[in-house]
Amino acid sequence: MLNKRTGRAAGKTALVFLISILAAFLVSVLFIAALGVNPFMAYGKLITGAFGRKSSIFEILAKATPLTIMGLGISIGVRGGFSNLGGDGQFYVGAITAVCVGLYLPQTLPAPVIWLLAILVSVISAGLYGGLAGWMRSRFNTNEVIITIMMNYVAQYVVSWLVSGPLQAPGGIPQTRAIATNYYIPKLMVGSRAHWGIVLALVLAVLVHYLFKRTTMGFKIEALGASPEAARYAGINSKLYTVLILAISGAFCGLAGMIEVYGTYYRVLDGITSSFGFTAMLIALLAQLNPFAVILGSVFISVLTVGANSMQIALNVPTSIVNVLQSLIIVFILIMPGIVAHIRGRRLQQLNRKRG
Amino acid sequence: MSTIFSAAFLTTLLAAGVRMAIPILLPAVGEIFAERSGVLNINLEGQMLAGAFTSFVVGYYTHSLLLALLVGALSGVLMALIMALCCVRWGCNHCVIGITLNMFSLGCTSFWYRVIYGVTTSPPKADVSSGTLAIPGLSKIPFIGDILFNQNFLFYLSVVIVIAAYFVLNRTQFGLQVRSAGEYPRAAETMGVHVNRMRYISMVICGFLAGMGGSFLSLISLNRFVDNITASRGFIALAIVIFGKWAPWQVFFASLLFGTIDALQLRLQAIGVDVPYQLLTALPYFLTILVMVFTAKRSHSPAALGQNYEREQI
Repeated sequence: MLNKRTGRAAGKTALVFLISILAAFLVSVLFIAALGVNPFMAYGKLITGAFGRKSSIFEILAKATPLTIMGLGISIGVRGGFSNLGGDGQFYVGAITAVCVGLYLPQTLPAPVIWLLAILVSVISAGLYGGLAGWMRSRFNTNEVIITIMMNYVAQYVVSWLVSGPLQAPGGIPQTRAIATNYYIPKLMVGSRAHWGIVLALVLAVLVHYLFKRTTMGFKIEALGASPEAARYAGINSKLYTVLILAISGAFCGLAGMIEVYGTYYRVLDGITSSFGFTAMLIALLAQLNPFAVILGSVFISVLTVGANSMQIALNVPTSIVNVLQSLIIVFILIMPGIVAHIRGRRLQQLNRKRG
Repeated sequence: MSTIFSAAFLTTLLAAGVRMAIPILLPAVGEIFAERSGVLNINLEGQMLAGAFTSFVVGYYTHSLLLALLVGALSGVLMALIMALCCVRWGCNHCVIGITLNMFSLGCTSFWYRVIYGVTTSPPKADVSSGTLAIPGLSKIPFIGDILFNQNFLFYLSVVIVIAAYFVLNRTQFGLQVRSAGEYPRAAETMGVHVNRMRYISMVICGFLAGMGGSFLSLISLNRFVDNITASRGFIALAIVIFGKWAPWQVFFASLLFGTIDALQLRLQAIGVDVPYQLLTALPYFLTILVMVFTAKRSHSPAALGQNYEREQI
């Protein structure tokens, strides 16, 4: 049952989103117009590119799958007060360990066993990698933003070395061998790119919802994010939770790596993530950290990405317009409350002055 | 191994190290101002990127190094002002808005690069002078002359900027006001300091230096622009500010250390030592982590860093 107040708050949020999205599109329209391309045609192309064919809809779902999983992980971090920008590094760690499970365990093992082991290994390894950043934060007071970004490069270059050295498949391309075909995660439909990994993403969203709605752990994470001092005062082991929060956040990103390897690429190659980690952060912010909204946000960003590809092919509008668009939407969402408060404050001042 | 320790190798290595320190040093000095005034400017990377891009475009068309540098620095200021507006005026979380604006900067620069130059097989080069300036007399000193006095003019400028930053922050009223805005804004306000004005001014200084640092990368280091050319140097600069305890001289030497490590890994790649080049490339980033681990606890950030200040309404 919606009472009046929550209804009004929801209405307000919706209004903020609507205005932000409109404003961001308006700015991007200026960008496209400056190119000498008709913006309406460009966005028409974007929409037909994203929804025109069945295959493009599956493409959207395929793209949204790892983004949802990572977005959930990043949002847990932000709820706990930590900006984990190391999603890409953790993705790499999860992907490379998961592919090893598929490549080097006895190939007689049935697929579900391999999947389970791969999930376990990727979650643990990426969880440790994320947790390491958390440990450095709690033990040495290092800024987790800088540390996780630096750890991205370390993981990326180590994986880059592995796939062009010790783990390289014959043939000279920097990539590992492919896992056996019976270990592929099945496609939703034959011939499409989307796979059943998306179900896992949906289940995880429900789990994260449950974590924050029903468990003390979720409550403690939120308490720490809201006020570290108050949380410590209330007896929450903030050092332990710092490690835990970033470990969970990292584990999700590592899992996304496993899913991407077993569902889409079947191997690890150089540059397998294209700044998923940063996109996942934007999705988490766009979703206001709500797990179900993370799904919507991932689909929304994937629609833009897929549509922008056909926009680039047809009209030569660079796909980086998506980066501009999605970051602007969030900038507008972030500044809106400030602008409203600012205007209100000014009006209040005027009123006070009139009253004398 | 013997080649590594020859004098010639060492001279070129250190000279390259000094040169590669410039694009970290300039933004880092700017960040000192921003953070001392209380703004956690995570957007440093974006400001560098904006500078790198616009200066490249201007350099490409006008062939004037100075004009290109100026425009690059000013576009850094523009980005910094957007950041300042969002957090000083509209009270956004510094970290979150900074990350988002970095993405915005990345998107903008690669969008317009592709619009202006299209997709080319051979990347366009900006035909500007390299800006290397041998100081008469001093550059003839053996060893030291080649390292310090046969440098890019931006290095000399950087040294002047470091001295100026030290002087301004520690010896002027303005510096005191900036520091008080970042330490205890409420008290500063009661003493008549315009806290938020200090933060705006500091961000302008920061953006200017960050834009200049980015310009150095595209105009002089690489002589071309590529997507994400800064490769997180902005974040390394953020780490260096912590390492250097928010003090210009310490930051200066820390930058030299990082520049030298960067130069070293490139030289080692060039010589072809028996270490995979990917691991050498990761070295500066790994070093950043180590440095943070060893110094973060002992360096104390400005007390009001990252906290927005709202004047009480009467």
